[in-house]
Amino acid sequence: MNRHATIIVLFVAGALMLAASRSPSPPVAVVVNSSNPLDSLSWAELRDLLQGNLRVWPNKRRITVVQRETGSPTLEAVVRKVLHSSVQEYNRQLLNLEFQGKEPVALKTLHSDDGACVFVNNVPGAIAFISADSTKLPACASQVKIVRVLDHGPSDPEYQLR
Amino acid sequence: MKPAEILSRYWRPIVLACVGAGGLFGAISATLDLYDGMGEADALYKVGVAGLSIESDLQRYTQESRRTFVYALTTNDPNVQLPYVLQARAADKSVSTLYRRFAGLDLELESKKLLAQIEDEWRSYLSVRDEVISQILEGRGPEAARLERSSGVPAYEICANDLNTLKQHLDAYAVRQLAHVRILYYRSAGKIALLILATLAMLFALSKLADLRRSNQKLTEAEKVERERSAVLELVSQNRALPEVLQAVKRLVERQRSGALCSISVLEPTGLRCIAAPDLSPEFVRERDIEMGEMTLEASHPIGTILAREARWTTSRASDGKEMQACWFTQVRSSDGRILGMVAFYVAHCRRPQEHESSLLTRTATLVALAIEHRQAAEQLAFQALHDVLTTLPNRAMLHEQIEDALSSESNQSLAVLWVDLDRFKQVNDSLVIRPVTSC
Repeated sequence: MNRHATIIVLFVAGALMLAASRSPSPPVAVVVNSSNPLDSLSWAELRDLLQGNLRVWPNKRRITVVQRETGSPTLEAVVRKVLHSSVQEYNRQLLNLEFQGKEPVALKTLHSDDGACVFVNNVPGAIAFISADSTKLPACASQVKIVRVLDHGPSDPEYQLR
Repeated sequence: MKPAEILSRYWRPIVLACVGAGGLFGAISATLDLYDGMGEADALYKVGVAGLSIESDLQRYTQESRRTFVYALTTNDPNVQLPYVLQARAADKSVSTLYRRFAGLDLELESKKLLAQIEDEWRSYLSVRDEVISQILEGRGPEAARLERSSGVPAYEICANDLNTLKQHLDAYAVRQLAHVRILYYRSAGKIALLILATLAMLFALSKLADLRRSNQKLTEAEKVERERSAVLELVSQNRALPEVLQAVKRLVERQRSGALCSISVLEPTGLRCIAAPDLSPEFVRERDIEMGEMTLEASHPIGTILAREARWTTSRASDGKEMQACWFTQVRSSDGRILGMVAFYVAHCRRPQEHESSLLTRTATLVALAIEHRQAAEQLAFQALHDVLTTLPNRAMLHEQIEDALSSESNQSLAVLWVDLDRFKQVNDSLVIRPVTSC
C-alpha cells in the first residue's frame, strides 16, 4: 500500500514539475510596411484579413498576407487564436473559397521570419505574422512597423496573440 | 682698375656668368613648372582617373541594381525572389555611396550639374523600380513587367545615357589635363636642359675666373720676384758686401719657395763657409756643408739630395717647429767652371726636388755665382789699380794715396819718408821684362 502511495506521490510531483517548467508560448508579432498608416488591429479585423474579407488597406494598397509555412508554431498559433481552428482546416477554407470562384486571398508563404520581414519591407501592402521572441527577432524588424493587437504590443503581458 | 678695363679683360667670364645667372632663373622657373605639373597631375588623378573609376563602378552597380530584380520575374516563389530583391537593394546602397564619393571630387561645373541631374534621374527610376519590386513580390508578374517596360526602362535609359555623357566629359577632362601635364613636362625638360647648359657655362666661367686669378697672382708674384731680383742685382752693382748680397738672395729664394730654408756657403781656402745661414742649428748646417762638400755632382745631374732617412741625418727643426726632412743642394760655379760655393734648400718633405724646385735652385746658384764673381772682379780691379801688374808691388798711386791718408790724419804723430833712388833701374827692368816676351 505504502509502495503504491509513494509511486502516486512521485508521479503527481513529476507532473507538477513538468507543468511548472513549461514556458508560456512566445508572442506572435503582426508587422506591416512602415508606410502603412495602420497602428492597431482587432480580432475581427485579423479574422477578415486571413479569410479574405478585407482585401485593400484604407490607403488603397492591396493587402498581401504573408504567413509561415505549414507546421510552423507561428502559423499554428495565429490560426488557433484568430480563427479557432487548425491549419489544415484553414487551408481547406481557402481552397473552398477558390473553388467557389471567389478571388483567392493574396497569400504568400515564406520559410523564415527574416524572409517575411524583408517581404513586408519591400511590399507596401503586405502584412506578416512573425515570432516576436526577442531572441529570434529578425534583423529587418526595425525597418517594419509592429501593429498592436487589441491595443497591446507583443511585449505586454496582456498580449493575447501567442 | 677701370670698369672699361675690367670689361675688356674679363668680358668672357662676365658673359658666361650672366648666362649662369639666366640659368638660375631658368631653374627656378623649371621648378615652378614642375610644381604646377605635379598639381595638374594630381588633379588629373583625383578628378579624371578617380572620376572615371567611380563612374565605371556607378554604371556597373546601376546595371546590377536593375538586372538582379529582373531575375525575380522568372519565378513566383517569394522565397526565391527575395534574394534577388536584396541584391538589388545592396546595389542601390553602392550607387548612393558612389554618388557621395563622386560629389566629393573637385569636378568641373558642367560635370557637377550632370551628376546632380543623374542623381535625380536615378531617384525617379528607383521610385518606379520599387513599385515593380512590390508587384513582383505580390505575384503580379505581368503587371510588373508592363510597368518596367513602360516606365522603368525609359527612366533607366535616361540615367544610363547621362552616365555615358558624364563619362565622355571625364574622358575629355582627362585628355585635356594630360595634354596640359605633358606641355608642362616638355617645358620643364627644356628649361632643365638650358639649366644644365647654363650651369656648364657658369662652371666654365668660374674656372676661367680662377685661371685668371691664378695668372694674376703668378704675374704679381713674378713682378715681385723680378723687383727683388733687380734689387739683388742693384746691390751687386753697388759693390755691397757679399754677406749683404747673399742674405738678400736668401730672402728672395725663401719667398719664392714657401717653407724652404735657404743656405748659401762660399768656398774659401779653408773650406766652405756659410755666409747666409738658414734658421737652423749651426751644427746641423755645418754637418750638411761637410756632407755636401764630400759629394760629387755630375754635370748631367747638378742637383744633389740628402734625405732625413739617411744615416747621418740628425733631427733639426725650424723656428716654426717644422722638422726638416730633406736637403737639396747644388754647386755654385763660375763662368769658367770653378766651384765658388754651395746653395742648399732645407725642406720639411722627405723627397727629391721637382722640376720647378730644381730650376729655382739652379737659378739661385747662377745669381750667387754672379754676385761672387762680381765681387771677386771688383776686388781684383781695386788691387790692380794700386799695385804693379808685373811685380805686384804697391805702385805710385798707392804711395800717393797712403801719403794723403797720412797727411790728412788728425793724429799728431810725425811723418817720415824714405826715398830710395836706383840708378839705371830702367835698363834692368827693360832687359829682364822684355826677354821672356821676345823668347815666345
